[in-house]
Amino acid sequence: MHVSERVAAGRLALAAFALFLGAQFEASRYVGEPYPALSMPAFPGLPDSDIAIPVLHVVVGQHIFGINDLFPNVPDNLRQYLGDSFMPATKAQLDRPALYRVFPKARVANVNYARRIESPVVRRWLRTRLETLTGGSVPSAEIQWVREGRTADGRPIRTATDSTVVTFDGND
Amino acid sequence: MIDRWLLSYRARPIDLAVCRIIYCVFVAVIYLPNGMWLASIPETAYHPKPGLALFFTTFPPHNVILGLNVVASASLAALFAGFATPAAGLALSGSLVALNSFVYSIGKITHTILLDILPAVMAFSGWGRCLSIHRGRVACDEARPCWPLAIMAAATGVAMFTAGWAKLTTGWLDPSQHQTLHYAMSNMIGTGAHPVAAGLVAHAPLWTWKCLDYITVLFELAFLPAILSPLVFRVVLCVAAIFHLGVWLTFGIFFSHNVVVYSAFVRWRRVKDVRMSWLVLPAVVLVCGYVVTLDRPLAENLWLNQAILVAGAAIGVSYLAGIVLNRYRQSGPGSL
Repeated sequence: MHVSERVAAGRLALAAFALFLGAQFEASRYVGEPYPALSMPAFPGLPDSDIAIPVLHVVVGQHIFGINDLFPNVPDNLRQYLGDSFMPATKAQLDRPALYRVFPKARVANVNYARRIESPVVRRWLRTRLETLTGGSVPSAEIQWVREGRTADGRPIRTATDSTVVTFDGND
Repeated sequence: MIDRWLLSYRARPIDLAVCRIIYCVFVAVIYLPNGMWLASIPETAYHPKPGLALFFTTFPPHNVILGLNVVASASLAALFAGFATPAAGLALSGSLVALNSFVYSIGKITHTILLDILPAVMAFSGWGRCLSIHRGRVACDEARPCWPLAIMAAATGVAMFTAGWAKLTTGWLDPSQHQTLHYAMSNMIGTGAHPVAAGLVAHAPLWTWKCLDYITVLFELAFLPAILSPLVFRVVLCVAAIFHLGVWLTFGIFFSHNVVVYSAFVRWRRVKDVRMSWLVLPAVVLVCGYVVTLDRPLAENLWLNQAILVAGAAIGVSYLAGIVLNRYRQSGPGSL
């Protein structure tokens, strides 16, 4: 390859790179961090204060299960996010109008996501998973959310924040 | 000026080929198959980020994920062997990006983008010329301008800069707040106490944590201007490799995928005469690693992750030491 051809190819690649970056930053501004995108973890600044994270417990009789029990096949760095599947229903995720204009199908996914634990799909999945874990029939389960962590001066935090009892009927 | 910058990144085909082999082994052992677990989670977990996954309303059928993994694995095999490397690189990047679009549709991006795009960017770099079953023995020892390396440097610089900018604009430089300490503690709570982090949290004074905040922001911001000079960029990459080792030791977080990308910029000075027998050991590791990890989720504590981080930091230290020693020899002992 002649140098001129090599330079031309490089210029073309650089132009494509610049276009991609422009699209990435516009998307980030209006609809949130896209994928693929040239970015690394932000770890935004937070005030020095108590540090606590939400921890999921699914209680079935004497058994208490966590995300590691529920999602054994999932990479460990993603399990925490799947715990959100069992959060109470919320409407917050539905408020993404800019996104829906470009991607109408996103609304369907977000409606499903917002329903979460109320959704028959999740209840069916949870029942099957809990029956596999306990080895028997599971008529109901309690989903507990606990804030676990420590205060700024080192004392432990363990506060129950929310709980939902899910009763499985024949359809689940 | 742009042309001069594009061609200022130079590499020998053998250096690029070594990177190709390291990349293939890492991806086979750590990364593939990818996303096979999507079939085992409830579909309401589908909460995609802007991108390819937004064209769908739920996870694709298992066979689609399987098919993408087959394409990725076949492309990886071709890339490793040095066969049709431009097409293999593009196909591998395409399938990895498609797979990760669905994996990250649970609402979490784990920032493996540099690893995902490396084969596509390097597709026309000539990284398949050496250590290639297809081409046999060719001259590999002559350094040539390599614009794909410049593009990869720009991609790395921008990606790291975004992390630094986010920190800069959200209070990491505020002397009264301690962000590294905050994340170390929340990581300990979330994933269990890491011995080094626990020791630091218990004994390190607050000002050392604040220094880590400043160093992190400065170092991440420095990536972007550093791309203007290949030498300076390599120095920053060395610091980054040491930084990633520190992050693993302190937080238990692995950024070995970035270190693999940095290997594209390493000059393997001692590697001169290419022998095809060099491919045997990596091939054994690649095949065994792929088969052994076939039915497991991505295990973050896998030995290869740790080996890559330690080796990356060791290469970084030796490169920086080499620069200092050269300066010392050139200037005489009195000048340092």
